[in-house]
Amino acid sequence: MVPRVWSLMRFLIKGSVAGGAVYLVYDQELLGPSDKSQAVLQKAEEVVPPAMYQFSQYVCEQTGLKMPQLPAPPKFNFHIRDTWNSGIITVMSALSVAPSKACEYSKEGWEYLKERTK
Amino acid sequence: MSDSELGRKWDRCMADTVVKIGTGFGLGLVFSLTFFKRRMWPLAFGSGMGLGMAYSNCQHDFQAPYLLHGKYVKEQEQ
Repeated sequence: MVPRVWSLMRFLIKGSVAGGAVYLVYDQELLGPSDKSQAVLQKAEEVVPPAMYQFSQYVCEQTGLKMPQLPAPPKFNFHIRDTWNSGIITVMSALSVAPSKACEYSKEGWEYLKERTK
Repeated sequence: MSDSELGRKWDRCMADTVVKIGTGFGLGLVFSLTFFKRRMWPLAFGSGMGLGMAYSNCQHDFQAPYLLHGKYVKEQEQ
């Protein structure tokens, strides 16, 4: 009798956890349109770091431990898209002027050699 | 489609992919722990489902401006 009740309780607990997870996904529309997902990601980026900080503060207060202050991560002001685009434009413009430049430099080299051999 | 709009679509696509794969993985993890005795296949299944849904959303988003919507018009009898 008791093992049966216990197994039923276990099944109900597992079912409620799984059902809660499915309901959370449905309620937050995580598997819905892409703009909703983007909004959820932005909201998570705003909410999660302060929540983590407050949780760590709470744990420190309750346990008496002092968490070491980590240095702030370095901020990179590197825009990949802009540098990639400008890199592509530079490479393509260099390739387009390469034949005329090669011709020009070879003429100058030839003139220089002619002057030197005079 | 202008460059800025294309960039916004790509941003939305990447964010959607991350959220959907994470959600699928999370749901797979929950089901694996509760009903499927900590097997790996629910995680793979959930992540794959999330990836597929994100790919479908991205594909629709990029193709949407170029899709033509028509409707059948009955021929009027003369």
